[in-house]
Amino acid sequence: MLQVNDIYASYGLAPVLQGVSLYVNRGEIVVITGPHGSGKSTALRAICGILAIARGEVLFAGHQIQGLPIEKTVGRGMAYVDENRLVFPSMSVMDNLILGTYSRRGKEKRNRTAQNSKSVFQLFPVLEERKKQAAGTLSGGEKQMLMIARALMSNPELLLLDCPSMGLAPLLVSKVMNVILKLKGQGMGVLLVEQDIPAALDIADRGYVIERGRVVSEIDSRELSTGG
Amino acid sequence: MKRIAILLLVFIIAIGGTVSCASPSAEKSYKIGALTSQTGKYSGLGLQTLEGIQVIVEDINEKGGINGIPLELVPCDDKSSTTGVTLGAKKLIEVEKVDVILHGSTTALAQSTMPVADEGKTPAILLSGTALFDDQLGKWCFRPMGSEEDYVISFFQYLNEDLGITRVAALLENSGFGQGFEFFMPGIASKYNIEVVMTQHFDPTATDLTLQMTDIKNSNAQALVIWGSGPAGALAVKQARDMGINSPITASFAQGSPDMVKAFGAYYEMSPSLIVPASKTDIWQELPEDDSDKAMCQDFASLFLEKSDPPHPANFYNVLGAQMMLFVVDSLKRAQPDPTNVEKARSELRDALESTENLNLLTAVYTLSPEDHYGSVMQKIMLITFKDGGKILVPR
Amino acid sequence: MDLSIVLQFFISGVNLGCIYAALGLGFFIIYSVTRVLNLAQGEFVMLGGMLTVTFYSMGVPILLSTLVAVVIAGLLGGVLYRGVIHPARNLSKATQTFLTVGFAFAIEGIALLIWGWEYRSLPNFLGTPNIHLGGATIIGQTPWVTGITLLVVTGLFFFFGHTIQGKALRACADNPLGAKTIGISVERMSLYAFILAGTLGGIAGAIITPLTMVSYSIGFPMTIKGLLAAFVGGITRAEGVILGGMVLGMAEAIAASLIPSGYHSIFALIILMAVFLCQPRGLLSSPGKT
Repeated sequence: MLQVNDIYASYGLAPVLQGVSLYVNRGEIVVITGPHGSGKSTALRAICGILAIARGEVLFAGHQIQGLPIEKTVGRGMAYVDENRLVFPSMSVMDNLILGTYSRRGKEKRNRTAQNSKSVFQLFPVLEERKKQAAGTLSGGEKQMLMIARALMSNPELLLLDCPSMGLAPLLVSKVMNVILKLKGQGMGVLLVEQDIPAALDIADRGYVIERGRVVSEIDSRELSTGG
Repeated sequence: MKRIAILLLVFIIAIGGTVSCASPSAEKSYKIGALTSQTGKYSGLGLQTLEGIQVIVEDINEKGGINGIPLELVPCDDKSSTTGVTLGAKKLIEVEKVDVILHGSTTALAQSTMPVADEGKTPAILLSGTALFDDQLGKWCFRPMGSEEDYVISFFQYLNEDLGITRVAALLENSGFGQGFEFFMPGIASKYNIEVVMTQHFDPTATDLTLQMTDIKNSNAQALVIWGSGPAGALAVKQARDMGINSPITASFAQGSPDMVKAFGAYYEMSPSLIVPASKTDIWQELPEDDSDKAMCQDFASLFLEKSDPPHPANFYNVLGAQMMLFVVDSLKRAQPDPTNVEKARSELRDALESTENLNLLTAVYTLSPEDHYGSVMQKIMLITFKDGGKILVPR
Repeated sequence: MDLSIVLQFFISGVNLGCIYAALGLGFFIIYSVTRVLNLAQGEFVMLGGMLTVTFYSMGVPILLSTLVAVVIAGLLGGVLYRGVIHPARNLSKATQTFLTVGFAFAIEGIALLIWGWEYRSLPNFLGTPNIHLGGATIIGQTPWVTGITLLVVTGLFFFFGHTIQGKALRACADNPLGAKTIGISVERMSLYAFILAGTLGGIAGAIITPLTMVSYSIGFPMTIKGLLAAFVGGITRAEGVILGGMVLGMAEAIAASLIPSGYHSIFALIILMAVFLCQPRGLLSSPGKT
């Protein structure tokens, strides 16, 4: 469903992506990993449209989406979770979730919001307990869950996750990974950028290693399942 | 490119030149710098004054100028700010090389003209509502406008002698304009056997005067005197009537300006109808035949009606503007300076202005001297009131 | 002190407070979404008043005149964003703020050309009579000012608290990148904010004209008053701006009744200093945010 062909991008004059190609299929968890500063988060940002691409193409569900700003791409069934926890601190957890449906408003009706929030509360029961609390008062782990939950509110077909386990206690990390597995079970594609390689590789179907803005190796599912 | 163009346009409008002076050029003419508030909060005052000046300049030129030398008007906007006055006056003196500056705006701004005129050795005529700074005029400035003392007298004389009132409340603007009135009030009140039982103040920008009105209503005053230079004074009249104060009200000429009359005419006409001072020109039709000023006022009224654009009757500030110009014209006629030598012309004009004697103009008779640049002025103040959408002389 | 004075003090204070709050809310909406101080906010107030007077004098009923004037003011808010702020969106916020001053000058100049310098007024809406309460008086327009301000504030709270677009506006204020990642176009929201602020300014202008009069030059003083309300209360929260407006209104009423007039400006300064020394970000500053 996602096909990325040879994309280039730069921050100002410094090139960060120098020909990255990858793909994600429906119901597949794909992990991007690599050393710090290699361009893996940038790749995610370039795919979803936060960062402009200088060259190359991004195909999503058969349509070219490169050049579209992020507020347009998320409306097409893609959801992106930044590594910084971009919650709306002064607003309640529930309002944060409701805004998650913004890109799909009009297309789906109000009862869909209720239905979606019910299913994200099943994934993250703690959010239901805190739904009236201001998002700014949540702990780091809760904020991370809120970020994922908010992204799920738009019924995405593809979820782009940037370092969801960063700064979380090991117990929480496995909780998050479990959720990602459940999403895969629902047929969602997940593209995951992760520093915590063991945790990520445990659940991933395939993986890419990026170094200095290039894909240096591709790891397929067989290696993952056998190699661990 | 389009965006940059829009940006540039906005910048240009924003900056708009700190001072904008129009400068036509003719070689042999008397250059008159008209520094008035054309924009900003005093633009009402300034534009009306400028209109009066323009009408006289046009009329003089049509009649062949002064001894054959035409007048050249250089209008300049002071933007209702003291910096605008300073910059504008400097520009008129140094760049435009005018022979005289007429400043038409409010009191606070008039004072900023004085140091510049002194330094540039250029005579300046100031329009100002207060006599409080008459001793600071210096060598080059003139303020032949009379004193608010005369207005206080006209009010209190009327209130006491015509209406038999002995207790008055005063509501004065918190500005130089109001201070001048307050300065002269106590002395004159006692002379006319009036006790000022309450003095309240309001800011020139005030919009709610109901609190002051409550105090005034609770006092035992038989009449209310309002003295303001802008819209707040007119609002005061409205709110006094709104609050149910039904006693006679006298207010300043600014409250009689046409836009205020248009906005609040209904309130002004409520009985007893509002009383404001005006010039003889305002009500020349009502002057008795034996009034020696009737012909002069009638001539000016019809001249103004003919020359103003769009045509309208002359109001108080139109008259004051015209009068400033007529004041200069008289001195130019007597001094006959050589317009090609600006410095000499300025100095000769100054001397002539200083020796003005018994000059009978629209609102007063002027006599000036080196010690007295505001002039021993005999003002012709008429009290008018409002009836059936028009102005009438107060029946006495 | 006389009872009628106390009563009049409250009537005046609440009335002025409503006016200042309405002026301040326009700043709040634009600032929170775009971080730009719209120094042309007072021009919308001027336009609201001027246009209402113009239509009313052409024979249009007063409420319809107000409505049309408010719509035009709102559209001009959109023009300010589209024509001035949006093209300059990559420049600094300080530059954008400066550009709003340029827009204010342009509007003021055009208004002078169209309407001249004269002050204009309106009768109380629908000829509402003055109400005398003991020695105090409620001027007939005051209930309109208070009522419409209350209505507008309630409407705003409903909009921001209970509609998805309102929440999206708040999201842009809270975290613009976060808003983008869930599909909210910050540019579109900024446009809405300017339109909303223009509308609010227009409403304020229309309802205060019977009390205060209007001329082409009232915009800048209105901007200053609104800014004060916004800063005293804390520009990051609507409640703060409303509180700030009320504090200023009451302060002005106190000044008019108790403080000798020579000290009015000092009194205002003291209030400002007191607020800014104790609460540098305003009486109600936003929690957990800098």
